[in-house]
Amino acid sequence: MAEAFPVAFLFFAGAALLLVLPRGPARAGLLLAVPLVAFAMVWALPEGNLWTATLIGVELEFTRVDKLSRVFALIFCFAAFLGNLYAWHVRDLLQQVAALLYAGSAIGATFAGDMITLFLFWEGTAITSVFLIWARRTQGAYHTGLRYLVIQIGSGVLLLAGAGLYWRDTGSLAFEAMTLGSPATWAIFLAFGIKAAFPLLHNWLQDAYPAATITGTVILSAFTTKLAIYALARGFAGTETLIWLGAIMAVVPVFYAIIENDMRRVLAYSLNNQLGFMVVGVGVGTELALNGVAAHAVAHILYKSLLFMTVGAVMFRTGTARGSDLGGLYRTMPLTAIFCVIGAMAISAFPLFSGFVSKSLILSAAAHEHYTLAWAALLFASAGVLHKTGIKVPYFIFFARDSGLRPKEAPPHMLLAMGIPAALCVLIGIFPGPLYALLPYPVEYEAYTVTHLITQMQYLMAAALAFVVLVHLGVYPREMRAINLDFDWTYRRLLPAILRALSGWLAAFWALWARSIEAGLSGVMRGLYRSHGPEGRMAAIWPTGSMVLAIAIVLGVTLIVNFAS
Amino acid sequence: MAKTPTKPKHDPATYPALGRALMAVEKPGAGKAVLIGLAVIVVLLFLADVAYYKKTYLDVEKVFGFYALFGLATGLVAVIVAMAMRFLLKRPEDYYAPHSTDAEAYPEEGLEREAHDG
Repeated sequence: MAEAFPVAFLFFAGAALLLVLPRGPARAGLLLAVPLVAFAMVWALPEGNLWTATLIGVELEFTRVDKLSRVFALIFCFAAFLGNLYAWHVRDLLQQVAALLYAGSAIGATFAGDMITLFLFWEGTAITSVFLIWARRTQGAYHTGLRYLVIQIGSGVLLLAGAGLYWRDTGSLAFEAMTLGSPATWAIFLAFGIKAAFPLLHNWLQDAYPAATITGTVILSAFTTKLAIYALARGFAGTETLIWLGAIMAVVPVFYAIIENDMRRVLAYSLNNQLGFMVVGVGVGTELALNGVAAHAVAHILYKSLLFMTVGAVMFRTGTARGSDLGGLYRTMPLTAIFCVIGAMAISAFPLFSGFVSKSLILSAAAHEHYTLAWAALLFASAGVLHKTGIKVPYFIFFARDSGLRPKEAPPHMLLAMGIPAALCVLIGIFPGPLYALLPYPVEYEAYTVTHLITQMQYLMAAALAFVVLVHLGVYPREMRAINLDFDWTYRRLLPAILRALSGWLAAFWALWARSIEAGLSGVMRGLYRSHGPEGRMAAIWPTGSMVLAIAIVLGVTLIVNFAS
Repeated sequence: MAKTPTKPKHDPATYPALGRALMAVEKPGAGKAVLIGLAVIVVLLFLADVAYYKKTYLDVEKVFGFYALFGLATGLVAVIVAMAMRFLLKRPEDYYAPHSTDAEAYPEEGLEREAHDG
């Protein structure tokens, strides 16, 4: 079935073709053509298990198509197109190949019908994406990439171990809904959780994304975490643990984002917070909630890519994404500023923007199922999103104090790449119907009700008022050149310090033990030497020929024994 | 890829038309106007709860002006907690150097620094 040929392979073939194409527009053109063709292919795929292969006796399902996998694959294709358009100017073959392989792996994982296929593509996303970090080619990026790779590969190893245990328990490798409980399902759950940036497993995200290249961060932001959300929705929908994990994910990053100076890291924290909404949706697990998860993943990929693009464009022109070094750029980068504001309004879920019609599905699902605490956490997180991303990012980069920087507007291809998702953020917000039609279940939800409009505007405007008041009073945390410790401190500083201390103690203990043994043996040797040495008492009473006599006796006894036997 | 930065022009007349239009935000009193405008909007939205039937699923939603109060409170609480966290967790930018990019300059070959030149 040629039409069902795994879409991922198209990306891999494109990556191989890049190697032989000349630098310049030919390569950049191919980078745009591949995701567009893939988008058309995914759109046309019928539902079902369309392409299988056998590997060492295991049947692998490469193209399991249903509404859930289709909507994620479609947005992944589109995100790949946007990312490559934004990176039109890049002539670095490493980044270009990595971008295609990474997107292809994410799409391949989305269509995986079994856990071995999922594992292969899952690891594919890890191995290929790290090159978008290493492509920065600095010492810091090298070390960051190594940390990222260890964690991502660790996720894959857990997935494989879980798949093996699951096969032993059930005799099946099918990637379907699971019930959390056995070691197998916990291993798989944690594997997904690492990539979804669960609380305490999240720091790879804030560590790695700001360390990647300008275009690499845009591409990274779309795939890995949303693939994990897809995997959770496929495997663990309705798992209540996810509701509380998601609530924590939605709330805690808000505080970090407010005090973070690096705007790409602010967006990474914000990404983590948005994942929290989706994880809660998966945990609630109703049709409304899962529709919300898919809708929010689509909306989120668009506005988050847009926001990373706007910050990236500023970096491209000024060399920095530090809030403390920026400000007042709207004067000469007005289009980028407006795109940033659109992305900020979309993520803040203002009416007429995409976040409003997607996030509300999840909040409503939590309220309908009476998860009051989780709902309150998401509402708090929504106000936090407005502060940390909706206002802070555009305000400190494009407005606030005048940094004196007057960079040129972003290049045309970047403006186009930003303009497309910006337009979609508005179009989806005004006309959510086409997005709702793509969702896994029939949508019976009206986003634009009087209650929803007024209540949403009430808390958005009130939260905005709090921001403005705090800024006026000079109380809002100012941007400063500093970092804030997060949980990664435990494995970047604490654990190595503990290991260093332990190794020091072990070395000292070993030296002490060795010295005491040596001292004991030396004492014995000195004693023997004193008694049996040339000056010893034993040497004085034994004649010189005593050894010869002893040997003669032993030989004589040997002869007798030999004769007798 | 890196270009020699050109000297920027600080004359507003050379800014893009859109940039010049946005300069309205710098007019004297604009900040105060935003503050007052927002406060009025919030009060009106708060009072709007008397004017429509609020469809709710949770008891707490029935509290008059709940969403406005919640938004204001969480906006303030989030900042206060964040400031306390900064007090405890702030470290110099090169704390993890050279094993992180925090204090590194972005490589020039990946940039196209260009100043606005009218």
